[in-house]
Amino acid sequence: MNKLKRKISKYSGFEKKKFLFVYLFIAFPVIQFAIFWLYVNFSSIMYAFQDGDGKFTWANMKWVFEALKGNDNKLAFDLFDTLKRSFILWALDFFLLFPIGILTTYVLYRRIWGHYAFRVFYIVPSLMGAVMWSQLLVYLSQGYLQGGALVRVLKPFLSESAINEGLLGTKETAFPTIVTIKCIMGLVCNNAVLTGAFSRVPDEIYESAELDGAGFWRTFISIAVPCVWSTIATLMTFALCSVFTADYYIYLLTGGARDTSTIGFLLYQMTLDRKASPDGFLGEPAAIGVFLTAITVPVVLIGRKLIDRVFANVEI
Amino acid sequence: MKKIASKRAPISEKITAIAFFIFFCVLALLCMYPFFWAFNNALKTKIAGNSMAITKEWAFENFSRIFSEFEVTGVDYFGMLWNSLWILVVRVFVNVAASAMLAYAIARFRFPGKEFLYVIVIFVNTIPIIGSGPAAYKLMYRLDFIENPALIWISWASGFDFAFIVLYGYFKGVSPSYSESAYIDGAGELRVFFSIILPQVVPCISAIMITQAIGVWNDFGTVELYLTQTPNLAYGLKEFEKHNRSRKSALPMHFAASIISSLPIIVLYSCTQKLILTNMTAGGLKG
Repeated sequence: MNKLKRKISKYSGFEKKKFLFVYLFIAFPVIQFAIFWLYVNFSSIMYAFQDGDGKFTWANMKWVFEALKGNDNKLAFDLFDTLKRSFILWALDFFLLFPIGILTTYVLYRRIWGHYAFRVFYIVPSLMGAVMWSQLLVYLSQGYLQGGALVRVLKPFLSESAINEGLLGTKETAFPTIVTIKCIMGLVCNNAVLTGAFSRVPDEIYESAELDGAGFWRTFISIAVPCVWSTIATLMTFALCSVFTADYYIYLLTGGARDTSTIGFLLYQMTLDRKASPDGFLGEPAAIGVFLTAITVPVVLIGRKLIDRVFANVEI
Repeated sequence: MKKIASKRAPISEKITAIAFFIFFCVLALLCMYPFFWAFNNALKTKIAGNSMAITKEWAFENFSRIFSEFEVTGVDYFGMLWNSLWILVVRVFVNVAASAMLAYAIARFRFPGKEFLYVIVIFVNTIPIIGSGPAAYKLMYRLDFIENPALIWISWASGFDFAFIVLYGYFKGVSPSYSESAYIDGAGELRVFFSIILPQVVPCISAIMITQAIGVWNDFGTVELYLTQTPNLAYGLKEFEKHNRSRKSALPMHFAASIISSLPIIVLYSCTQKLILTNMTAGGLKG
């Protein structure tokens, strides 16, 4: 406190007036953050180590490890399998769909024939929203007798149960169907932030590369990607962090049934369950959160270090 | 920017461009087919049998029935449309306003605590803290924010999110000579912010607002958790389908409502696409 006072006393009256303006200007967002992020996350971590009476306990964390071993009857889903599915979907997103997304965004930026229409077509699933899109997919994936369109097209490749129950109706096809849906939706990427970054690379750089005989792929790999790497790195960091974000598609498509639950879905469902007892005991969901944070943070930090090292010496 | 495979491009470039064009056409078909499928089924009197069959009924009255029969928790379609609109306007405005205030202060002023705040924003956006949803719900309950439209906007006014990162870069990029000239002319801090700096970042703010608007328009999760008595269209569609799943004659109306509800946001994006694509940048260029 004294250090801060000494620091402030160094400034002139004009600067102090500026400080007053700045502190008043940022007061609302900072207080909002302190309540809705800092307090919420801090209390969530504390709940993980408290029993129903608010006393310290390891019981919630022990419960998480028991649930991972399958020795639990409180959760409707197998926690280990749920975690595994989350990582499968995340890996698909990060290692396959994200790089393809960079390429498709670049091709659209290079104004391929019909680029304007493609951009509108590709954004339609996002514009229609998770509710509408997933409801359409549920009806399209229904069984043969219910009029499911996809089952009619894919009939020769499907088992009897999948034809009768629909693609999301059996354990053998439900998760592969969700993976396929995620792939299609992930492929149609036209990232606005990335397009903005591509458009800021001076045209002369591309032109001189072409004069030197560089083709499309060479220009993309050796010029475009290194030039916008800091933007890609920022987006990759966000993608790294999104491993357990709320998974509305699972919630809407299957409700986690037929071996499709993911951690994002589970956490959303646990939040919804609060409606029955809003002021009730939070130890178990909080403990799952602490466990997942503990395994995700090192992955994100190492990932960021590796991302920052790539193209570290590129200068325009 | 030079077009991919221009007229003078070598044959290999043209083959690459054709391959991409075919790939994009297939993806476009996959994206648009459910939309056409929904439109086709919205024109049927009931959905039974092969839902892929092209309709011969053309029951356009399904679109007009939405305005009289589409109802969730006692709120009709116009009520849900109004809720979608006010939630969108309030949520986007308070979020961007809070982000702009924080980003402006950190980007343009030197003050004790500035670096600390910047580190906090980066930490919040890059380090995932998982599973705080139930604790957030408990706090909202204790603060009496649940089913309380008059207070819930406070929880939406987060200035520490992605909008900060985009705006911080833009505020940093505005030349200080503009504000210095304004100070010399006797302008105060608020005058400089609203009359000098803000007009220069309007395209960026508009792009952020439109991008956020798309997410908010389709967000049913917030309403499902905190505002079920004030249903928006996204939540309304979900609930209507849940309660009318077995009524084959209600489904065409449901699809009609889905299409009508997505039209405003599709039109908004189509008209503002260029603005979004040229003004959304984060992370900058190398060098």
